Amino acid sequence: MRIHITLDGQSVITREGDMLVDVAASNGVYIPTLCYVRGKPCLGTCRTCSVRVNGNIMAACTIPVSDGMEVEVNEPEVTDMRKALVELLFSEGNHNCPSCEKSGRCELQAVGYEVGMMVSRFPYKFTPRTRDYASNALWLERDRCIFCQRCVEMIRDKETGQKIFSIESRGTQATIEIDVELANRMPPEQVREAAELCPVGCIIEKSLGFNDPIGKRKFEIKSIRERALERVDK
Amino acid sequence: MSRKLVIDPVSKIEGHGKVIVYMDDDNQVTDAKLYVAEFRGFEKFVQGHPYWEAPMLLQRICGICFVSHHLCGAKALDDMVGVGYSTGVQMLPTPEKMRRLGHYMQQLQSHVTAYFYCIVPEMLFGMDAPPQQRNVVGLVEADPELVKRVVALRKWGQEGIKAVLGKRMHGINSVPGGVSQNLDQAARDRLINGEEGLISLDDVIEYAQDGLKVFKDFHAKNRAEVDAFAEVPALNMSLVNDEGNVDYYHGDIRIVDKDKNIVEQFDYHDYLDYFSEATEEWSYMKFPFLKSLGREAGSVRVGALGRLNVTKSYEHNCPLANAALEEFHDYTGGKANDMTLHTNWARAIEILHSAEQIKVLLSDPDLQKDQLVITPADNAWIGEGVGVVEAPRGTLLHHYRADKAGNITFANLIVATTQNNTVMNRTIRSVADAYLGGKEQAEITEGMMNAIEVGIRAYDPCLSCATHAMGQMPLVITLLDADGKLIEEKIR
Amino acid sequence: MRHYQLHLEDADLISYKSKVLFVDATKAADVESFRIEKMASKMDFSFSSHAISIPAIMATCQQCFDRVPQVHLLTIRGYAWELEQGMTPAAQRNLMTATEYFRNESCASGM
Ligand code: SF4
Ligand code: SF4
Repeated sequence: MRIHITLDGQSVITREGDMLVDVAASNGVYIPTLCYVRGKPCLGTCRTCSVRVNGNIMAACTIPVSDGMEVEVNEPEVTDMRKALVELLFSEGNHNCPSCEKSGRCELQAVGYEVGMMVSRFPYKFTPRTRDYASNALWLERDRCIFCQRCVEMIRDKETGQKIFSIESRGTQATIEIDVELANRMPPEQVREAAELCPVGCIIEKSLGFNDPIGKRKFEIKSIRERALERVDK
Repeated sequence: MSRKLVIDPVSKIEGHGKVIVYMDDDNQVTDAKLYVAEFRGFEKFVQGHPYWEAPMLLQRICGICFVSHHLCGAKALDDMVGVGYSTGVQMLPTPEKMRRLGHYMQQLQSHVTAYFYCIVPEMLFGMDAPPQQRNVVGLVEADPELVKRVVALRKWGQEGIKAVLGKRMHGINSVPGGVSQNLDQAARDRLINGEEGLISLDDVIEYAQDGLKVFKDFHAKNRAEVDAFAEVPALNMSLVNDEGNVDYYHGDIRIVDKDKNIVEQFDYHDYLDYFSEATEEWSYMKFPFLKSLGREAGSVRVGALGRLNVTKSYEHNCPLANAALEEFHDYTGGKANDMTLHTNWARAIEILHSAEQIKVLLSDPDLQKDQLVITPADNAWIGEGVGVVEAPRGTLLHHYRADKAGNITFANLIVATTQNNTVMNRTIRSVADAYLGGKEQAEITEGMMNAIEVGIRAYDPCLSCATHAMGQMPLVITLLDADGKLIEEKIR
Repeated sequence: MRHYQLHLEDADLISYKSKVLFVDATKAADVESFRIEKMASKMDFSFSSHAISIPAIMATCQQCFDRVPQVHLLTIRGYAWELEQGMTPAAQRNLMTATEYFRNESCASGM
């Protein structure tokens, strides 16, 4: 059904039930996301896409549009809130972009640039996190995990459909875990897929990295914003 | 009763270096020590990281010779994954030439900075000139054309580094077994021909010759002083190719004595079999020496002067540098050159050599080819690797070990400044002796401080950035007697 | 163009421009929020160990390239300088006021 919504004051005609984040993108309004993968069920874990809908803050990847909706994206307070959320992710993990192989291809870093982050306003926690390199082909550099749960939900054992990744414990104790037995059954394409899917440099392929030269890395060729805006079918 | 003179730059005041000169009752200098509080945390930081991150992380040790650290680490990684020189595998031509090109670019850049920013003003204005004049800013009024050239050279060097490594500083191009990109034709042509605001490669070579001429003019006018300034004996060390001439990227380690006879030559993977490191409670920096000769006789000099003493000639396609080298060798008639200030001569020659080598490499079509990496076989993993290169300041070594999973368990770096530790101390002692030895009264003069500064700077040591300060190195001097009693202290 | 310090090479960089604005933070207590001043070239030798002053950069530009652009310096008062911190709210305000002022000013004067 065709409906009307207001997007930053502009009246927009769209289809009822489409996800707000996609509707915004089709209309040229970029909303940063980290856990969201277009075409996959929404995870709603990172909240980076927070916008104001009819006066309430909501994650745009979780909201199907409905008639008469009033949406504020680039309003200063909401914009700053999104920036704060990204800053939190940086102060929670241990991110050292200069020597990180995901640099230039990392969604967190790219979104950091998009929201204009220079430094985190929150104190860095320097949480000690151990690495996991028990499986044959994958390495978990846990310092960089943002607990988006993409890997948990979207990477599954080909035969049994079982989850390969999981998050253990909660809150500050939370860790991303890998089932080594299942992981060792992953075919090479799936290994690659998992590393690509992880928005940050946490799931990385062993003995591989820095293969794209500086200047030719994913988000240097085309920014995350451009990618988000063009991916949408109009 | 002997006395002790302290020049303190490092420990008491942040960013200062500290030198102690020991004297006996007759006011003779008996010893000199350069105190170093160098922080070696990087070897710890890298532990527990995936091995392929090491050259990216460790190059951040230095803002000047980062390419050397990057390549040294890359060579260690080649070894680790089983496609390095330790297994006898030869790198493919394109990646090897790309790595070499990046290294020459940085050598040019690093030498140009040290030479033109600090040393040329010192030569033109004299080492006792006021510090505000004795630096590159002082040159602006005296010789704007020269400054313009320095700026143009540095800009070209930066663009060259960027073309190879992707960034002007701390870029990345080496991966285990090769490189991540070649040099496309447009980038090559731009560097060769220049463009608006960028000089051409021929200009670079011309400016490099001018730089050398500055030293020669200065030397012609001040021969006695230059030659007599801290002439200190030491063995000379450099990486050499099969012909026994310097190879900044790869080769055997060769060490020659004062008559240029070979004392040792070995594969750098065996470094630890040949060298020991002495430690002193007063310095964080170790003192490497050749086991066969012992602590005093076995200490080596590395860097430009060491390399020129080891090498007999450059590649035939570097005619200008070869002519300069010949002249340099003739000056000491077959003997090794121990004159500390001739390091600057050597540096100027190496600027020219780098420029000519860059020209050779840039005209090599291999740089545009696509075979960039050797992929190791499944069972090739070795898990340990050593890399050695000739960094601008001298022989640099990285040594890593990783467990089966690829997790770094050990890292050791031996930097050029460490290799030069003993010979730097000898230099300071010689300078102090010239100013104090046998004088009625031991007094710390401004002239002596300046001379010690010039002596230290000849090595361009990476102790802390204090030593790169323009114009005047921060120093604290204290004069103590043998019982440790303070006689005099000077801070600047 | 963002730098952690000025280099001699910046003389070359500004030699291609007609107008240049340097922006820097200051601890100077007499700057209440921000200050814009026109800079004149002067070989003042006022370098600390690594850095070169703006007037010296301009003088170098003049000496070496026979021209010098119109240069302004915008200094913004800051209050805290430790690592790990973002800007203090007060400094953030100063930055905003300065940006705002500068926007209007540059429209008005074509600066
Ligand atoms: S994961 Fe992304 S944000 Fe974190 S260190 Fe790597 S590049 Fe930086
Ligand atoms: S490992 Fe990567 S994909 Fe998985 S939860 Fe962490 S950040 Fe997300």
